[in-house]
Amino acid sequence: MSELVIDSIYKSFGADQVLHDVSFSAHDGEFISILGPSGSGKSTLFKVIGGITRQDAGEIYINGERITGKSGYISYMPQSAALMPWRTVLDNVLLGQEIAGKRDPAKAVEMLKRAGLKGYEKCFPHQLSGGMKQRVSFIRSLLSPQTLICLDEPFSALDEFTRFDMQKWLLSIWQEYSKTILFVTHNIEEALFLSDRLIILSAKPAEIKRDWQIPFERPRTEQLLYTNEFLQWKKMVYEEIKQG
Amino acid sequence: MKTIWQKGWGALFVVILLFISWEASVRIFRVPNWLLPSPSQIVKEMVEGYHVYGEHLLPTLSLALSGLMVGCLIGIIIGIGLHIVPFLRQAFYPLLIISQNIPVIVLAPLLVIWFGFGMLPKMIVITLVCFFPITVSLLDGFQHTDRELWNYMKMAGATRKQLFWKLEWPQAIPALFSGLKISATYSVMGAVISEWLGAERGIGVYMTLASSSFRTDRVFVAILFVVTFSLLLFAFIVFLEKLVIKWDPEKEGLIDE
Repeated sequence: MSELVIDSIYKSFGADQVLHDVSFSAHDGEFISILGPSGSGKSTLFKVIGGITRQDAGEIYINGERITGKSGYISYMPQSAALMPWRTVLDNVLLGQEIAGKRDPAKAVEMLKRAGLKGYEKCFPHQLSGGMKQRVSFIRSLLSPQTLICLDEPFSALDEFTRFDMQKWLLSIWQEYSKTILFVTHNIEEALFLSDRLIILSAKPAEIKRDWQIPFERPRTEQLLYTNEFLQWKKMVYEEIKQG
Repeated sequence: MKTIWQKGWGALFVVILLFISWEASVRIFRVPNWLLPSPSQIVKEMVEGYHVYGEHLLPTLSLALSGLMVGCLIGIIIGIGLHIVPFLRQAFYPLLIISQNIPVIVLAPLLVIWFGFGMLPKMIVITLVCFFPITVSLLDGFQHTDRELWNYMKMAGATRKQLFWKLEWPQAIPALFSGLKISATYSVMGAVISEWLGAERGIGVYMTLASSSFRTDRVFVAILFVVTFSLLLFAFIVFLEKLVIKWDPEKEGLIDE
């Protein structure tokens, strides 16, 4: 049981308060989306959880262990794929394991195959398309030993068609691995389609406005997007964000 | 080969035109040989005078190569040192720039006074010329480390050592090579200057002898070899670069989905 507890985090840069009393917890294998306007401190929240930005107050625990200010507990997937251009696809996905100290190329090859990247192991990132790079980046996170994955608007740079394919792919692959996912986005539909829970942040300073369970059944398909219930939710979320 | 020809014909045309007008001017105005020899006279000296300059070529090339290697090593060590310890960077960066403002010609006789006529002062001259472009370009390369990758690795728990060897160092390699190219061309010049300090053989010696006996044609032969060696070393570095950097995005097209 890996449980993440975020306990009233405060953070400001100078006079500029970014995070104000942010608290929530996530249990094992949960998919949580964090939705908020641009510049609302979502990325800062990740950096605090990742231990590379020090918060002013508050604590973070994983499985009861206090990890405040410590790194190495989460696998972060940034907005851009952030692959190393001098490494092959295979060496890129093994990076997380390398940092932890053990490489498992056989498993990596298997995962690449399942992600539709068979035959690309020896390619360099510049030879891949945007969607493929994101998949490589996500596989790198999945292969890392950490059980918590933080995704920072991973699909925002993709076109609409690729984005939807990627969302479906992400769901299918996440269901097989028991990883907890924190997913930052500013796309309402994406957040509703993917997650178990939806956390809405306010504009600066970011506070938790809502913490909703998303009731849709899994596995989710494209059909869900056209149901009345989904549209109702979308409207509700939109109204909530509009209030600011 | 075709692209080299396509890109190079303009430069080749200009060089040929320059040589033709040079040859013509020397003949028309009857410029004396000791003042300015014509290109044909220089070529003639190059063909006929091999027994004079032949022994001087290899010592200079090997001196330049070994100097370049030492300069490279020191340049890389200084670059890494200044990067890893920010305090050193602040403290030594101005000194580094000053080291390049002292004319080597002035420094050279001093080095002879301090270290005699052996290998050491020669190596110091070449190293002084070669290390700077490498250090500066390496430091520049380290400065441009990808922030997102840095954050990713930090959050995954990477140590400082891992961050350096897995991220900063490979990322700086293209920058390192651009510094290397400059150093490679400088190294031959550094070798020639160091030979002026006193050597038995070398293009520098040959050049000094030629100019003091007003054999201007031989001075030009020396210049020609300095240029050729510089270009050879440059080409060698470019070759190494192609060998090491396989991820050049310009070489292969993107695959569209």
